[in-house]
Amino acid sequence: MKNQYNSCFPVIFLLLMATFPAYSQENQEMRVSGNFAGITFDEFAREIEAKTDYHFYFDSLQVDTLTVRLQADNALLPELLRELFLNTDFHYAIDKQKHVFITYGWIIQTELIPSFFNRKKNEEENTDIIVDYFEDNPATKADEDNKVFAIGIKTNTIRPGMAQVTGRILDEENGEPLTGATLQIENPFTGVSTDPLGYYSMTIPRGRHKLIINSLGMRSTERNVIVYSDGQFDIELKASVQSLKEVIVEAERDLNITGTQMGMQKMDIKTIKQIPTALGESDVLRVVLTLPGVKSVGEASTGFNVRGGATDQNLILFNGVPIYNPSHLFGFFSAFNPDILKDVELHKSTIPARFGGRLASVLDISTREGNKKKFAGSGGIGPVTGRLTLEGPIIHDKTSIIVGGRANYSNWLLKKLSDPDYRKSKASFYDLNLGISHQFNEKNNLHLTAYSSSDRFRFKADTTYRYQNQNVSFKWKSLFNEKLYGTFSGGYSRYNYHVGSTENPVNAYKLAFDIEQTQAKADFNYFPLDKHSFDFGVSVRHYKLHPGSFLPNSDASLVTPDVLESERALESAVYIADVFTISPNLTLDAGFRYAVFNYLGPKNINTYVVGQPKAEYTITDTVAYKKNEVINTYKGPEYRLALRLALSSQEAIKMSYNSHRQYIHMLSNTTAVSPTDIWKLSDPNIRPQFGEQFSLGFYKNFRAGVIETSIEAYYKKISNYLDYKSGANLIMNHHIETDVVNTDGRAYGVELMVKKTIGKLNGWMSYTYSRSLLQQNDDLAEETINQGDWYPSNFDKPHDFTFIGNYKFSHRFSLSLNFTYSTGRPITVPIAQYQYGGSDRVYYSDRNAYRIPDYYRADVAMNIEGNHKIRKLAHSSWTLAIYNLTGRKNPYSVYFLSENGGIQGYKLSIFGQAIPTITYNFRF
Amino acid sequence: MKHIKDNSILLFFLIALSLSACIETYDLPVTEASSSYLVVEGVISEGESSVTLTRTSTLNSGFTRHEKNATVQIENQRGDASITLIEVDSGQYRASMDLDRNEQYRLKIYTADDKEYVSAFVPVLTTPQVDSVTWSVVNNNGIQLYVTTHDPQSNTRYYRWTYEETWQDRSPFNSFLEYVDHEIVSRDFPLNQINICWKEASSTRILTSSSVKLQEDVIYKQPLLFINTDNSPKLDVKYSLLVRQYAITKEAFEFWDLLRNNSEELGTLFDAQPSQLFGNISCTTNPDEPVIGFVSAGTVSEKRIFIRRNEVPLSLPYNRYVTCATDTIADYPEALEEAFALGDSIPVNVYIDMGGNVNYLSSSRYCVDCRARGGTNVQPDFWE
Repeated sequence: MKNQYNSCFPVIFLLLMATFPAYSQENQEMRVSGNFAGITFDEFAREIEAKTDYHFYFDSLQVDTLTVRLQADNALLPELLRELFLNTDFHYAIDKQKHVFITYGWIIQTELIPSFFNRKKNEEENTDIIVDYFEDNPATKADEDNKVFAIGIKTNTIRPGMAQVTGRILDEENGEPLTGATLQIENPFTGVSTDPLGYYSMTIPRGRHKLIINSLGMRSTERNVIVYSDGQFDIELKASVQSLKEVIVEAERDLNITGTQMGMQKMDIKTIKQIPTALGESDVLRVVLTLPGVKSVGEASTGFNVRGGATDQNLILFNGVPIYNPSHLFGFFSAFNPDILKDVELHKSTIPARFGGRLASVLDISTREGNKKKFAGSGGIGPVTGRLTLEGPIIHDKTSIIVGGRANYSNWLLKKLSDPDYRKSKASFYDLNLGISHQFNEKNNLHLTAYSSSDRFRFKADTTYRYQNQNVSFKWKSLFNEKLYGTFSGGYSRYNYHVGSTENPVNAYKLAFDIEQTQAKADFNYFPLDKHSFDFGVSVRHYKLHPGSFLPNSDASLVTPDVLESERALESAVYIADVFTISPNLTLDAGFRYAVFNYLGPKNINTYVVGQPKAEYTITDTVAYKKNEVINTYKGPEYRLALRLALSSQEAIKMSYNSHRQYIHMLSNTTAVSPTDIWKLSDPNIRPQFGEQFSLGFYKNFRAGVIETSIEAYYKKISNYLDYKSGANLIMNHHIETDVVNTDGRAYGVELMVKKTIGKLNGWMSYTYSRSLLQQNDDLAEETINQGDWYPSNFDKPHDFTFIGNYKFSHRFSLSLNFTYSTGRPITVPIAQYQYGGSDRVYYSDRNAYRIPDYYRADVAMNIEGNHKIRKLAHSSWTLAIYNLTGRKNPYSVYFLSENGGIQGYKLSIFGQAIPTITYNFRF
Repeated sequence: MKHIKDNSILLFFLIALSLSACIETYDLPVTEASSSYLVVEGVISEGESSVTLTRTSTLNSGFTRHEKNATVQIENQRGDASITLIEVDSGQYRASMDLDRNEQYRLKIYTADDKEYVSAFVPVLTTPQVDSVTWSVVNNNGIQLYVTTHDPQSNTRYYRWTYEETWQDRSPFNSFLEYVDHEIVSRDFPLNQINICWKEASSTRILTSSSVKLQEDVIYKQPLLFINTDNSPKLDVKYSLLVRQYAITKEAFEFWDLLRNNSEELGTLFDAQPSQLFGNISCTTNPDEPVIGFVSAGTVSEKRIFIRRNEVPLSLPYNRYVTCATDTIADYPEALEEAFALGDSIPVNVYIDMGGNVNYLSSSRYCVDCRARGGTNVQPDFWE
């Protein structure tokens, strides 16, 4: 048998049996020296066999093309073989008895797969195992699953008590840290998850444990460890076997039971890419909309509403820095290139104390780090957009760079239109991303990102709309010791828009708005005791807004230059949170945040007659404040409390109370977010918004976490939300406080979710019953909306059902299906008509008293992968999708127009037919 | 700011369109019969003031309820001048009164159901002259009409316009004959001509503009209306536009703007919430009762222009009534009686065939008598 074998399967099976007794043997390292200058592999093998205990097994015919040219100086055999086989289809495997197997085109697994002997030994199972060994991974680390690792300082006897284990979880392929990966031990049943930089810290009893590590898109991994004392233990995870386009909805596997977090959803880019979209481009925000508790006023609109919150109550963070307009082309695309994204986390219930400043949710979008090991690229071509991402190491294993770009070519769509005005129009957008990460040493690393998105739309030949987001961030993470690590981050974010028109020479104008935010943060994680894990930190944000400028746009223009005074403010906060493990089954997460908001000069502030409506005629005085003078200060505590009670390893009850304060408001009197909406800071006349939320949830997992179920109920109160007076003019308004009214909100609901995270069939299904109501609460208002009664908000859609499913037929072919149903959104409809101004007109009554027809839509997408040969120039895949499969004309709005003297009702559907798209994706 | 809004609407509409959007008609919701609110429309003007009182009615009711038998008065703020308007038609009240430019006036209404309504006191505004009404060809399929005005004193700032269109409509066949008393006779020109009619239409859209954002009180080429010559015959012969200009107050401007937003500028991706409409009229008997309307006072400026077919550099069709054809009717009483007695066919001209027999060419009333298509065959006084 030596040097020759003919048939794979029996041999492998023999090997499996043969290796078993060697399971516990030590794998001694044997080193090789020598100069192998141009010898055949046969000769090389004999020489090694002579010098060491290794025995080679290979097919001479296969290796006769191979010439060995190596210099070995006290090298390990695996290193030599790796070098030798680099860029070939040869593979090697070494078992514990020093048998070296050389194969061509496939790999031998020298270890049993974990838990092999727990399985029923029948033929079918064995076939499965063999199939497993055909995977295209050059390096096999599965044996680490069975190896026992020592953590801490080895001692002969293990002292009883607890020890703290810290470390990082990384992607073996590119060294990228894995965020939100979970580590668990079974006895006592405890779990933690990694932070955004892949770090974890857990306090567990000393002694032997089996660590179970799960992460999105990565193979579930086990490590046998013996914990002697506090120590560090880094773990590299492998991507799941079908790594090209696997769809795993494995978000927070088991964390729903082990963590205190409620109402948190995390998705990785693979999940996001699975979901079909209207224009063939994976879209983070569209996917977020499929989650329970997240709604929008309509398709292709920018904003989303979380648990009854307004669109401006979501904090959208891109690498930790806020984004003020997350969309392209007025909401048809999200402003984030899917190729550069790592994952997305939505917090809608227990929002960690480190976040603050918005009431409803935090959408935390992180970009990937570049590949630290090799150069790679990816991209895609869709019907209206194209994108390309390149990444690679600058210093191998230390510094990496990633650059991504995306641009549209949708003008062909406009050219197809019949109206000449439209044909003269042009739309373009792009976004660019840059990320650099550097690891100074095991304890310090730095992550820098830059982002720019830009939109430009020219209507006819003379009116242009432009808006841009710019964003830079840096994050330095330092592990001071095993009990304390810190993250120091900073960022700058800018959003601006610009509208220019030269249509009428006398009225030619340019209108501009911008907001800038600069921030600095220090966040610390501290694990002093077994039962406590502290997060604390400070943050400072500086806002600067130019609320508007209206200027002439040509020499002939008579426009009076008008510039609104700029606004500045400082928002500072400190927070501390403690995850207190009272017992293995009972965890309290108590967070406290205190924010101080200083509205700063220079600015002129109007004062109004007390007890009178704010209006131009009630202005009593205008006070001028000097530069940096504190005009007024708002401050207050925010509480973030959560309690988790595990009933078993698969069941938990959680409850939470959260409060939030918000000092920045988006001014918009349109139903959907429009690109010309502006932001306004709280000032002496505009109070901050305050919100509280109570939630209660029950979580149960089935089949060891494969199926997760949850039910969450919440009740939320909002005060000082801004609504607008009839006919309010929000643009270029010198005293906006006279046009707004304070409104209270309340929202409640129940969200049910069933999620299957792994397997051929995966996906989720959710049903939400929720209400979102508003009530005008302004004694001084001259007009009252709906007589001061509660009325439904624009996005109050009580019933909402979503199904997201994916079925993998084979490694190369998978099918996704979406189904969405929701109650139609409320609208205000007329109740009477009358004649005025030469036409019939309608008389509107109570706001939002009627609903547009229900919404339902089904989408389907097919992903077809190219073949999985690892050494191809590029891997490609095709996505064929049909959005709105049934072609249902889902109403976006229903409205009533006075036309030609009469009244006509209309229903507008954005996507009024099935939309097929085809997208080509590649990576190399 | 107005221009931004106008363009936005088109723009967002466009995006919707470009992405297979579809717009379908939607039935008006069936609503319960609500209370019927008073609607007051009118201007207190130098010379004759006219006020129309109507009521709101349920949707789809298809008619306008006029408020009859009300007492409508105009009074000044000093309280020393007052006039009662006369109901000239149902719900239409008129009176002439000299206005003091330095005074403020209001409307006071007592309805038949014993309720009192008053408007706010409004100043008498002097409307500047209309500088010009111009037009230009847009997109090769029609003309856009504009108004330009300015106030050298910069007092006006807020403007509203209404217009009246008059155009000639020509039948494809010019009838020289009439069938009178069972006989064909020559048509009496120009008295009985039915080839050319004058048709009228009034503005149905709210037209306002403001110069507050400009250094001078100038309104330059404010769009009034677009006439699409592909489907409108208005420019086929001769067209006239009378523009009425009103100086209005800021409050009136806001009222009209809101009314337009609520009823004309919807259907975009970024619709504003329809909002409550507030006028300057209230019910003193029941202060909670909504009253619709805004009363203004002031002078009116007018400007009329004419556009002849040959001035329009577009290829306008000579005959839009392509289905119209002539029949030949033999000249004997039974045939004539059968053809013309009911009036649905009209003799056009005499036709003598090869054999020398007299026949009459005829065509349908619709193709010959312009009045059948609406309009009047009497030339208006202003026509030139």
